[in-house]
Amino acid sequence: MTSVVVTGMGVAAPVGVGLEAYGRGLRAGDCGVGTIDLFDASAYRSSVAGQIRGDVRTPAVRAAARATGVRLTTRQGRTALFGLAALAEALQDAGLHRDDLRDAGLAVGTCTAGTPEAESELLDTPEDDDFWVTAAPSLLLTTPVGTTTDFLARAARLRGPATTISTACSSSTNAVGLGAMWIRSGRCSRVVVGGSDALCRLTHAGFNSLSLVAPERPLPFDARRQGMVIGEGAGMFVLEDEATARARGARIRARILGFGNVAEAFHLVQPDPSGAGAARAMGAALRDAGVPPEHVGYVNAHGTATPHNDVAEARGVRRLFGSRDIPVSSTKSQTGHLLGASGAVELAAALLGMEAGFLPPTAGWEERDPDIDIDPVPGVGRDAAFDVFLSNSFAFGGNDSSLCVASPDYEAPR
Amino acid sequence: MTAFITSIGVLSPLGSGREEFVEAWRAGRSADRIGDGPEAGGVKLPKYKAAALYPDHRKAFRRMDRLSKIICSGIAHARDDAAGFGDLENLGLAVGTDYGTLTETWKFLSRLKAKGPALCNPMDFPNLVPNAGAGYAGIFLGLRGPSHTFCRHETCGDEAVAWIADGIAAGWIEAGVGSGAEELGETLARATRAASGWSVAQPLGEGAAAVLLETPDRAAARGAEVRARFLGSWGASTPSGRSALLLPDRLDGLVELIRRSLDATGTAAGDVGVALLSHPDHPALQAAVATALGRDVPRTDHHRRVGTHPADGAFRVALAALLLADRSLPVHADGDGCRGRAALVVTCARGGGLRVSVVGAA
Repeated sequence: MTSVVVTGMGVAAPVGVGLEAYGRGLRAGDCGVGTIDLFDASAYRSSVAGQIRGDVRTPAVRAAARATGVRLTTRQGRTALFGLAALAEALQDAGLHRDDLRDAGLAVGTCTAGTPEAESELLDTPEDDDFWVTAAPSLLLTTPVGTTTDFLARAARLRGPATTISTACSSSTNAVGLGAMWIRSGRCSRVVVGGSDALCRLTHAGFNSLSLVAPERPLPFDARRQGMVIGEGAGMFVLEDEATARARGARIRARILGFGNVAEAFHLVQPDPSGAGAARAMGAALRDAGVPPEHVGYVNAHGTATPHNDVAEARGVRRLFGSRDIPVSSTKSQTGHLLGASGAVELAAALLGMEAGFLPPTAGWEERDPDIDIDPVPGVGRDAAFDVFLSNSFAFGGNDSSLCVASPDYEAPR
Repeated sequence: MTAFITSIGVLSPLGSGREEFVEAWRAGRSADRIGDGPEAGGVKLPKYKAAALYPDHRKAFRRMDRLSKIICSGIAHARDDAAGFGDLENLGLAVGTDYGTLTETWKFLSRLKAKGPALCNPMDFPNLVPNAGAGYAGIFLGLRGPSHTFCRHETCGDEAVAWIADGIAAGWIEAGVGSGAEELGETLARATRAASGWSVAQPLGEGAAAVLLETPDRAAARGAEVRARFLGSWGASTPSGRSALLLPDRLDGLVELIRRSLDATGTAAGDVGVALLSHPDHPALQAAVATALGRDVPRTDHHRRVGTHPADGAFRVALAALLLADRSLPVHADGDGCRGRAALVVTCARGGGLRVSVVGAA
């Protein structure tokens, strides 16, 4: 079977924009959650979020954009801008220019697209004005989630297949899985995959209405946890078939060995409390990879910090790994929940940890929940070497996904 | 591996369920257009009872959004056409929807504006994710296999079907339902008009279609009737066009994509008996198909009879299967039945997405 390798990645996250800052922040246990200043959130149950502060076009991002030919524009909204920033870094990291993407594929996971800008127009229109009459047509056109892919495809002058997956919080994990499938099946030899989402009132109000949000920083797996905190950002990866990557002398950062995606068929927003769905998704990823559970050294959890999700996921881990104690952490403790982008940004966290020899922590964890029997890697990054990890994303609709990723030197037993 | 199409579910302005739709199509009927308002010229579904398709889950339909009901109805029609989907444990499900729950999203935001955050209805928000319909269908039917929702404009419906076929070819699943659905509302109508002048000549529609794809072994084991074969589907992008937000006027690369698709499926240009186009009156689309095939082929007139929507690629795959399975079924209102062994489903999309699917006779 064709081997799928990661040759480039880029990240824009609340705890750090760019791989270097992101990795440093993760290891230090930094938290990027703070008071929202993009809009007035004072009337909500929670007024905090994982917001990217300042201009995402840092000097390093601008340099990456210049080197790769990716044009960074703010006209297409925050979701697209974050995606473009991560795309530029991923291409630079892979040693590629946008012209090298001529026949590449593109799979993007997102939930918000142009909603932040369009909702502002609606919500800020005076009460007696007719929004439909006053709104610019372009605002209506950027709201469908597919437009984020349009902007990225255009920025890359892509001619290969391009798609958008929107399965809520598993969107970008599924995009990575789809890109890997395209390479395995020979449809593409190179793909750009990932996700991007921006903070907006729609999602903030929605999760507030469900009383799923915490008033302060999120505390995944902690007995004191009160809920999730949403965030924003993007993660993009360059995947290639190994032969293509080696032929051009590319640095191989990791291998995407397996992907599992299952439907829980249980409830639209609540996880199966037994953890069966989570275990099936992780088990499917391991079977696809041909990797035995005992080879897995770390699980990057979905870990939203909501009371039910964390218990169900911990039970799923126990179902799969039995009595073995495996480190399971949630980097949402540092970034907040990046919704459609979370899977990609968390995959990058685990990958950076594997490369640098540390386990990304569950920052802020202090108090054990008796229903959650895992090693949450509290505090700061823990020095540890591991060759294989799972990265989980579980979503509304009961959509559970997991990626099995290995270091370049790891060889699966099959 | 070729995937067999063994059931077809259709919810369209011309009828609910395969048999009702085929009867109306054969009779050359066209759905009535909406006379005025933002959706003027469009075509809507007649009133129907979605909950009746899921007798064990009637209560759940009270809190569902309209698009999710449409999605679930299309899938239920495919289930009924197949007399059940067989083993559900690893049955894949893919849904295509471009605008998704945009109508509900604007309602939610309007309420947020009018009433404030404290009065946002917690029952509404879960319905706003594009994969809500897939989630409901999974719960109602007990589908526990892979599930994706695709949202890249006009390619999303045929891409959903293609993903199921790819999963079967990769040995990932043995069967799956590929579907596409959209609801016509004020938001969609205004956005589509802004997106493309074609919507003026091409009436907007709504509805759902779903097809069950299976491996030949699974279909044989179930004793399923094979209606057609899904031979494969390929995507590409065209960077031409003035804006990423608009339908491209030039379709660079489409001829090459069609030829590549025919080659990969071992289909001769002469075998193609019908083309089902996302924008049947788009000159560049017509020209690309004619150039690739070396001749003009009959085109369906679905756009004039049921309207079009961004996720209707799944409907066009379903219609292709119906036309290949029943050669007496006319390709268009004034035409004869399909005379070839294959059908070409060709889609161009806002943002430059292209997709070509090849459907073969059983």
